[in-house]
Amino acid sequence: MSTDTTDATDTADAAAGAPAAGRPLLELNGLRKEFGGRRPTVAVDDVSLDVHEGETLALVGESGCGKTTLTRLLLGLLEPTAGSVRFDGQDLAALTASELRGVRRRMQVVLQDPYSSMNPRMRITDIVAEPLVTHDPEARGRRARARNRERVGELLAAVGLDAGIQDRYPHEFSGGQRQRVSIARALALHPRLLVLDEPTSALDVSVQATVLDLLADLQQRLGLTYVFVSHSLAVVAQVADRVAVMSRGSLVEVGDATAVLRTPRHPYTRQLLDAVPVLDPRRGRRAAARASAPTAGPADEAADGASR
Amino acid sequence: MSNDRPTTGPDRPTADTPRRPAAQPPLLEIDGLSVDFRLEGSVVHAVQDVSLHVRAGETLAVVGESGSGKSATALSVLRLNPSPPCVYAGGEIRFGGRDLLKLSEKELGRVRGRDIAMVFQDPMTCLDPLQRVGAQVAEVLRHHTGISRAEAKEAALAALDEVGIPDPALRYRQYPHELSGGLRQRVMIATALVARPRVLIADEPTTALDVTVQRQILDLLVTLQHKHGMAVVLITHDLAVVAETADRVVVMHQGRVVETGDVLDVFDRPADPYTRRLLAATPRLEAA
Repeated sequence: MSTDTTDATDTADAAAGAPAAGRPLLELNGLRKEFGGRRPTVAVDDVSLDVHEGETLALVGESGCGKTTLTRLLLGLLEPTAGSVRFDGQDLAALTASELRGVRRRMQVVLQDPYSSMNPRMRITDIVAEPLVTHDPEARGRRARARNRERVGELLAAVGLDAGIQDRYPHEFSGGQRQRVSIARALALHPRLLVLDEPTSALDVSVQATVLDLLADLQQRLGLTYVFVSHSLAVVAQVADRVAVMSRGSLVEVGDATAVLRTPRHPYTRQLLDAVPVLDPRRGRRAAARASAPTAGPADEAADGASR
Repeated sequence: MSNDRPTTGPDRPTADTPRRPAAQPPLLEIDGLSVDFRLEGSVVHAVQDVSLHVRAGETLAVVGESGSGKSATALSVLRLNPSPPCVYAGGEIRFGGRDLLKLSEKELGRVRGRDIAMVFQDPMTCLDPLQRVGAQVAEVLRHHTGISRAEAKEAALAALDEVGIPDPALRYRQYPHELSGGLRQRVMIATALVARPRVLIADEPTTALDVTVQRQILDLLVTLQHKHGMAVVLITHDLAVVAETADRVVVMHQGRVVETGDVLDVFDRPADPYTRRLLAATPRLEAA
């Protein structure tokens, strides 16, 4: 299994011809993560992947495929069983604790659930300022208060929220607004890489659309690099420059988004794409069923309208 | 299936009767339904003057975002909204010549699961974790018909088989936690369909599932509907699911119906601005 998948990855990579100038911002090399003792579960199996400055790399796959474990490895939150993660040329495993803290300022994460990812008893101002307080001694204490509030105001404005909400609590906000707060918090330390783990999966479609627009806008203004984890291929089609498809811990296909989504090479990618419901009532099984039942059709609707 | 009820009348369509003859009256009709949630000192008008209907063999999709009132509407049919705080403030829900809102609990109990069944989003909150899967399917029949334990078991095994569960005899003896999400969803569908209901109300039946499993469950629902000629009311937030499964669609927004019509018409020429917004916001694969 692993030999033919690596091949697929290589060819897809070569076909994509993506490598931008310079070295990648993030380099994953032969990453492996096992959980458990004598008969371990292999959550991530020999994953090699580059993410370039300024691009959006989408990581797609179904539940249990290892996407979340992979993001935890690349954020340095989990130690790999084998392989390495390099961020901006630095191998995370070789860093001291304080050096690792420095790197972590440059990579931030936005999680899926805007309800469980913030402390309900903290005010918005403290939630957004928390990374500042954690990473910058000068942001601590009373005297730093005014400066922090000013910075939080800027961050909230950047994500389209009113700076006046600083003293309110998370429960006063909708899912979409909370997700904006999460994004503001992630931006507090001027990161270069954002890991977006299903950032819109819990949101209604119209809210999802506005959050995706915001993310695109921020990426352009701030030159951010995104690793965008999603199970929704339709969302990925909208946001990604490149796509990495994951199944059972391995990458089965990596390449340019258009290429992967329009002309998938790996059978698993094809299977995923075929399963996505299409926004076209003339396709799918119901359409076929409709066609095979000649009495059903728009003509009924006219009669139906008349009877009401 | 051995449990087919003897009450099969002319209005009980089978697979070979025409699927939507124009003259056929609606099987289930909601007329001017209003549902309030009365909380201390405040009233939320969750559903306001909603009318819709569905015929045998037809799939009606009710689509909307959170808070649109789509689930409250669906739950009203079998009066499953928690009450209090829910109050059915107005309207009628007509089924089989009766207003379901006026039935006694006992009378409604004979409709629930037998004439009208429901499938929910999360099978884990619907199935009893302490009961074996097979017993939960058989229970529906034991409750609604006088059949023996052995007959109920046989029918339940057939129902598990019908929804595509491999090795039904093994699964019959297992507990819900031993099954994957997709299998649990299939068990819930088997439970809903074992008494051969005439109307199936499916509330976000595939929302919690992976896309490949969603595909299987949607295909299964279409197949079973075709086979048994049920009316299906599908509650969903996903317009792509609507496009693939529904004959007609009702679009809800803030407790009201903003648009209703044949799915082809609504997708080709959405009349309401909210429907247009929803269609525009739905991500498409073709965007790549």
